[in-house]
Amino acid sequence: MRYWLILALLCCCTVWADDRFQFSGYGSLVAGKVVGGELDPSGEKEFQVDFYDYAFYTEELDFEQESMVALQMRADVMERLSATIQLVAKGADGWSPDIDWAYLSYQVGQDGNLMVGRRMLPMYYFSEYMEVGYAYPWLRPPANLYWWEITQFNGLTYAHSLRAGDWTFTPSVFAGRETQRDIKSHDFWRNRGGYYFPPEGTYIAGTADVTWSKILGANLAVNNDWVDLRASYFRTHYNTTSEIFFTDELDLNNDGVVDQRIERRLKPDGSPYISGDWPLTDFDLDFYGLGGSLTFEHVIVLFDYNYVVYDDGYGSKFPTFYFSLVYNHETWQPYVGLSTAKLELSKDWQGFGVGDAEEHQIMTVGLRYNLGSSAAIKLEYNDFSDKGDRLPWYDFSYHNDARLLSVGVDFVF
Amino acid sequence: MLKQLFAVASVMLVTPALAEVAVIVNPANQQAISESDIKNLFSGKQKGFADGKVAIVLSLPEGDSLRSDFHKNALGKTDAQMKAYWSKVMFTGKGTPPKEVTADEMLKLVAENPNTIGLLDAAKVTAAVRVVGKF
Repeated sequence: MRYWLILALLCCCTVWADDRFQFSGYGSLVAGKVVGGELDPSGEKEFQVDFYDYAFYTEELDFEQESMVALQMRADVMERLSATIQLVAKGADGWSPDIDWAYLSYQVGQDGNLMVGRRMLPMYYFSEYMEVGYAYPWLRPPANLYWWEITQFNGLTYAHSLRAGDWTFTPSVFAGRETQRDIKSHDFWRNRGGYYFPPEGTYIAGTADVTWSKILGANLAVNNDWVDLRASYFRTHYNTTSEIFFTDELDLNNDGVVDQRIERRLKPDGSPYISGDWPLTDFDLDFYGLGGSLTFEHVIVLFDYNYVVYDDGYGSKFPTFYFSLVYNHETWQPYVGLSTAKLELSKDWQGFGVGDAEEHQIMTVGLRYNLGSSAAIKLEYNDFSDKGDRLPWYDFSYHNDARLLSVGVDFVF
Repeated sequence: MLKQLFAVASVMLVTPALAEVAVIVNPANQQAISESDIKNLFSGKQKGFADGKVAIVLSLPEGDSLRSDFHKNALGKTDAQMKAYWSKVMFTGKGTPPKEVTADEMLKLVAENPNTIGLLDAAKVTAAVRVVGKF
């Protein structure tokens, strides 16, 4: 059914091919298979590639985890004002189309642009177009950096460009909020124990929701012919909640043995119990990032350094970086990459301890082959290694060593 | 015979390099347009001319060798790199690629509309347009 919806929209492209409407799109067909590694607690060798949509590969060849198609429609409403919508359907999400982008854009003077609506959140260097595989060399951005459950937001963005010779400087500011409901990866973690650490006698019963409110940030992009740099900062209030239940243990005859267990899922008024308002699930988040690309005659250098700070019970800090080299050939682009992510706990939460809690690294080797100027074939090998101590942190499955081989075709139309 | 074949082959190899791309505007547009302005206009970083008028940037159809030469010589990018660049820009709401028109339409559109800037084979330039750069 959903394929038909996409097809119907594609047909509209030809019917409405009027000057005021522009239709375009992109997509990826990707197949992957874990070719080595360690078993995780579920008894599988898994390689996680998309936290947000909870996509991962196992030793079975899989075509649906990262395959996706997106259609963009842009309409010129009036002079200086345009409306854009992007529908994205992903295999990992059962091919159900989502609205990833929906915004009005107003050109202010020659160099200003005000955007109101739903957009990708400008976090990492590749965040805004991480799904447009054709636009970057790799098969995917490093999965251990691009792991957030929130990737879009609803709000305002204002960007203004200033030029000096070949250099362009574009400062921008943005503000907004976003809620994601029924987050699959949180369900997954919950089922393996952990994350919410609910008080004794309380268990998570429903799905998890995450809200980023009061998002407020700024970016500065600087570029010329061969340099493209982007500094980014934002702050948000992070809150995650889930429906929970209590188990009452009743000792009816006072013999010290529990005779009956009663689950309480609803309050007397019939509404569910909700967890969430405590220092592990309700806190401020600060994001700092500096990334870019440098294009030399034979080599393109891509890098991103990021630092995320949670004002949570653990005082969590996430320093992450990647570095990648791409051979700059017109048709064949071999590449290598290295990305590392760490979690450091700076506050002792209820005796949990401080120090490094997680560390993992992905080494990548791949090849992009440009098929004409609208499609590219990519072959990529990733080696994920867990470098962290398992204690005191929980052993989340995606932190197992795993090696992944994937092949894909990215296209734009 | 062999000599002739060689001569034909050399001509075929040399001919594409001889075609020069002219960047053209309407003669009514007498503003200074630098090489940086041309690069910025054709990569969507600059939206208009010095007088504040929004520019209508026109390019040739995909696969046209003049367009490829312009990408390579003026913007320092291959066609595939330009396509990747525009896919990033247009799917993040930062701009739209130049409108594609045929060489015949190009001359007509630029000669008629003072807000346009386009590409043309330098050998086909007429007095109806003004050349602001050659690559």
